[in-house]
Amino acid sequence: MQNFTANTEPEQAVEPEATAPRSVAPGSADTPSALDCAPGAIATATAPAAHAVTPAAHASPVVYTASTEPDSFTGAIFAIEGIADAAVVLNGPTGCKFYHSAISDTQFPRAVDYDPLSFSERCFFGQPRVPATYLDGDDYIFGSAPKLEEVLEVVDSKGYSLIAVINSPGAALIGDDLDRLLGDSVSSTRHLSIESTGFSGDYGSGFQTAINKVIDLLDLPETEVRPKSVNLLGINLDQKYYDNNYYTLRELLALCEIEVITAFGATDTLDKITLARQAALNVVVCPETGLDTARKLYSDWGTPYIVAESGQPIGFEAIVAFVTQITEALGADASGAHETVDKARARAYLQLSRYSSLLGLPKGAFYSIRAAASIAYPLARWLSSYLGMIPAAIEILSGEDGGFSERLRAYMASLQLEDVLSRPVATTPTQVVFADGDTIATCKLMGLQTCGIEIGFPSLNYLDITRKQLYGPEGTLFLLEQVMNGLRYV
Amino acid sequence: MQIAIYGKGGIGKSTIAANISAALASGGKRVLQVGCDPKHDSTRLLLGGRSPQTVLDYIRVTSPDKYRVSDVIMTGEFGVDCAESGGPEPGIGCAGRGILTTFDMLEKLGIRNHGYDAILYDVLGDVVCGGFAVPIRNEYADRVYIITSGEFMSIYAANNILRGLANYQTNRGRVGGIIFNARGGDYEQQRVQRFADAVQLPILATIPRDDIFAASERAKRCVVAEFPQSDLATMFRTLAQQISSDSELYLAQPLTDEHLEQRILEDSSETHNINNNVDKTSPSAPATATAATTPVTNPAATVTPATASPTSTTNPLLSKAMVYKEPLHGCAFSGALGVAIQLTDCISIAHGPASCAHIAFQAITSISRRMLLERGTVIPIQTAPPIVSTDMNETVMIFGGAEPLLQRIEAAKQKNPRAIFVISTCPSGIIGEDLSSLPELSDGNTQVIPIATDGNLTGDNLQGVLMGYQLIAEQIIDRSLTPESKLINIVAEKPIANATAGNLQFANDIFDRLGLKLNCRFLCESSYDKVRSFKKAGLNVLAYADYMGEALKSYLEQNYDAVFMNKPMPIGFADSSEWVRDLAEYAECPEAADAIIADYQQLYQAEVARLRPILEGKRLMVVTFNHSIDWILSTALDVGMELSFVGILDYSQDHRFNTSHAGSIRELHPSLDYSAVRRSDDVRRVAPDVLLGNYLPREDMGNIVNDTIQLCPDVGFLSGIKMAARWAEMMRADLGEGWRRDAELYSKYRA
Repeated sequence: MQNFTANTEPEQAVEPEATAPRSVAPGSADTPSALDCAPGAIATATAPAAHAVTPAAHASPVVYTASTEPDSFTGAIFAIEGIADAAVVLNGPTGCKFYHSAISDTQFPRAVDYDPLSFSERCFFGQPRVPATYLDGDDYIFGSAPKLEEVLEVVDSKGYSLIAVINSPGAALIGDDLDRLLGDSVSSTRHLSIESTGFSGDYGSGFQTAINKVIDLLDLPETEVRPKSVNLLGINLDQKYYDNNYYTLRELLALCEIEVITAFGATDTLDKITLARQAALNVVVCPETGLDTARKLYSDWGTPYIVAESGQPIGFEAIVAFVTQITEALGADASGAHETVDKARARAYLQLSRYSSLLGLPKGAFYSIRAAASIAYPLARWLSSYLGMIPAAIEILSGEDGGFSERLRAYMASLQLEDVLSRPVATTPTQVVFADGDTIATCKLMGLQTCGIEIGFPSLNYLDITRKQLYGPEGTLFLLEQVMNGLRYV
Repeated sequence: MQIAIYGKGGIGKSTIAANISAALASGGKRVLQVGCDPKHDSTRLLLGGRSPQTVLDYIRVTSPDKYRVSDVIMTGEFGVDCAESGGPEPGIGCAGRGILTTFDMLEKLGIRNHGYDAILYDVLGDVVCGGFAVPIRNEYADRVYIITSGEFMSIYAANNILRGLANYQTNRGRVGGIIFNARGGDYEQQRVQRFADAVQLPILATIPRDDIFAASERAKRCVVAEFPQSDLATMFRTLAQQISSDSELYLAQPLTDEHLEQRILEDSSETHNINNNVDKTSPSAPATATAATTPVTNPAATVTPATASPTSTTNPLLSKAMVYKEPLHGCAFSGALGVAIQLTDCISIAHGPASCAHIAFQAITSISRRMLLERGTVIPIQTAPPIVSTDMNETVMIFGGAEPLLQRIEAAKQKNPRAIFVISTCPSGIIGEDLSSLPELSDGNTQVIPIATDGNLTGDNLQGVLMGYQLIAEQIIDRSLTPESKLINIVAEKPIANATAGNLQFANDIFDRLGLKLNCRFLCESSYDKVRSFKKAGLNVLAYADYMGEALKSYLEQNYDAVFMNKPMPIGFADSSEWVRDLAEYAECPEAADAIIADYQQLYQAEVARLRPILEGKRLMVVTFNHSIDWILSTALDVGMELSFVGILDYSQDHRFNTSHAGSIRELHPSLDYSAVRRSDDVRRVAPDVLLGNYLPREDMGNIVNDTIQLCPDVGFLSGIKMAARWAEMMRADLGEGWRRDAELYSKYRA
């Protein structure tokens, strides 16, 4: 569950998750899609009113800010936190710590409770992740060494395989010698430091800075390459259902007898990452967070790489392209994966045929997207070329996207709808919004009668227990399920 | 008069500064010299070799409410008061940040009001970063003197100092001139003269090499004191006289690096001529301006009145962590931002890297997202908080962030907010961003209000909350308004607490029944005009009587004549009854209170009668961060429970635990330093029937009823009895938690 302050002593009267009144029922929605799809929106019938709607800028109320994006500082922290047995030591104030611990713990839970008394060492501040040096004004003047030594002593005793000290933006300005302090304080545990993650850099640059540092630290020797094996690059903690996305791709590629060695920063242990040089091919699933590392590994190890040419494997067309591209590169047989996709399409056909016959939908319904380009591109293609839906507004998040922004623009131009890329999602009338929880909530605030489908962070905090994913045939069916349930009365 | 003496380290800057101070003081002036160099030896010659405790060492060990200016000042030769900034060891920390902190502390202590005729800052000029540039900001030194020798790096540093000055320059000059400290190198006098000519500044004095300096050093005294009859002493007295006589000031006109290197430092006309060296036996009298061509008016005649300060003009409220020097929970930036965004028609600009705005934004929106999920409702201010980030990047960290900040302010103004708050982050504070002039950007439509939290450099989250409240009050509340008896303010709600909306509804219901009307929520989902009208309320109600609430109450009483109810918004039957009676008495309709209380009394007593057979004699154990829990203890006693154990955990936000039931509590631990293991031991020993806490232990407690207590509970008559009813239901139903037996399965399959 995502509650930044639920599992710590609150900063200012924040309600712990556990203290929510028990008289309040848990989320009444059956699925995340239903939560945001109140009946009474745009009337639907065999001729949906939405067909007549032309998206145009909405007037009020005034919203000054779109949902913010995490930057390179967060990217670096989440890269290390995505390694199962690694720990970030944040050399910085608690103001930078609480958020990152809460998100890491939500996305990759490794503790079985929220009780602050379970994490009572001072540097943990009642949270299970991201111990910090709790810097204050004095430390910026006199240096952080005493506190860092104190924290490293605690953390070094916890049995982590890797300790990474990461400076907060403020600490990065005072230039403490982190490597020397680490060397003096940490004995046998592997360790590294990141003195500056960059200021206001994009998330992917920080993520890859940290991953590349881990790779350098491991200094893996040349080894025998396993044929038909890959590493998956770019999957990370800031993605919705990132863990199940990873498992889905492992399963899908296993159908093609392709082994996935590891995915950096996506739940694997350091031991698994040390096998990375055995991979015959690096597959950049998400260029925003993986392309730079792929280039590095090509330069350092000579491992070839491919960028998923249709974007992240979302939507049947992109999934097939993804599998085909990899199997062709490795000389493997894609038929097993293709058959699985075909079966999913068959399931979709039954439901779509019935739905369409009753409502004429989803064709002609409007959708909006706020996402990374490598998601927005395959998603838009699937929505417009498979479901026949009309884009209303698309916003692309920052980061090096491997050219997907331009490809999306070209695709929109081919639909004669290029201007949707300049429309704000939060204020453009639409029927389905694929976005993060903040954007979906803002659409609600602006009075848009839409169904919100979460594909990014921050989340609306729905607690996922059953397996859900965006990738692969099941991920696409999950999206379809949400569209069809959400669109019916919008 | 405030004087900054700048120069490259190691060229005799402190020696000259100490002699100027001594000369000023020997002429009857009251002088303070502040050394702004981490090696803290600026005042050594004034103090006979002694050193005052440095300001930075002092504040490391002293809580802000204990600061005394006398602790960091020693008096030396001729009565010169001496202070030293101090700083970190070489190679670690940030000395520039230390200078910022020192000035901030001296300012808070009101050093400028201590009757000094002259305050002289002796500042290292090698690096003119934001910290070391503090003395040349407009609000500090009104005249700046630059010491240089003829050496390349010294002149280079002098030019850099002029660049720093130019960045803070308005239309008035502040440079008094150059003091040439001769080192005896070839052509140095010509070189310095060429530099002075090029930057159009006079050389006020040429100080020769002289053994008198060494002799004075050995005596640990300055020349003016040790050799008062010497030519050098005479020269220093003349120089001091010139400085103190409101001599002309000049604009800073630094050279480009190219010009400096080619035309000044590597001039081909230099030839080896020993006669060009300075004659050590004949110090030159302070010169008049020979090349300066741009004298400007006396600063006293042109100085503009101080504008609104980014820190409070009254004594700042201090958080618990600041007072007790505790580890900081959260940052002041985030705290102030959380307060500022409560004004729905204003925009807050986060001056810092994107991560600062992102973290704060997500913390604010987290509860609204969950509200949408669970209840389908949208909380406007917490769904789209009006936050804009300046996204400080590497370039800004090096060269300063004024330009992107001004761009953001101008862009924000296009949205016509009533006010723009500029709230600074750690990086902004560390590089010394100066927000003090931002109020000048206010116009008829929009007030620009800086809140210089500097991330957590000024304190924790609560400190930021208090700063936000205080500055917003000072800048917005209209002091001329007259209170109206029927209007009520609610003060210090918790915007991100689950209970806030329901609590407001409770208060409004009671207000309605008593003929009262809500005026301003200070500050929760409020607006500029609502805050402005704060003083229209005849009565104020405190939402919570915790540390923050009480601090704010005291501040508003003292500074805005605010009248408060004795009790905060009430939790539980007893407090609610008393609160309603007090409010009804204020509203001059005491009979209405009886009707309201009667409605609830019947309900409450019926529940007590129903629950007592189940709960009577049952043992209650409480382990909580909450410091106000009498409401639930009262209910427990009403239903006949035994208060077996009450432990109050250390909490960063409060330390005001008090109870009227101490006599009924078997084990009372008002300040519990606890661990999960100790709690488990205590649970086994106490063997409670009900364990109440903010978080519950993971282990299987058998038949113990576990329940959680909200940090911000629901107000009203029935808060306690609803909780007791839940305990009774759980006891009666003999429920099981079979999942707790699956810990082994978890270890087997997931661990």
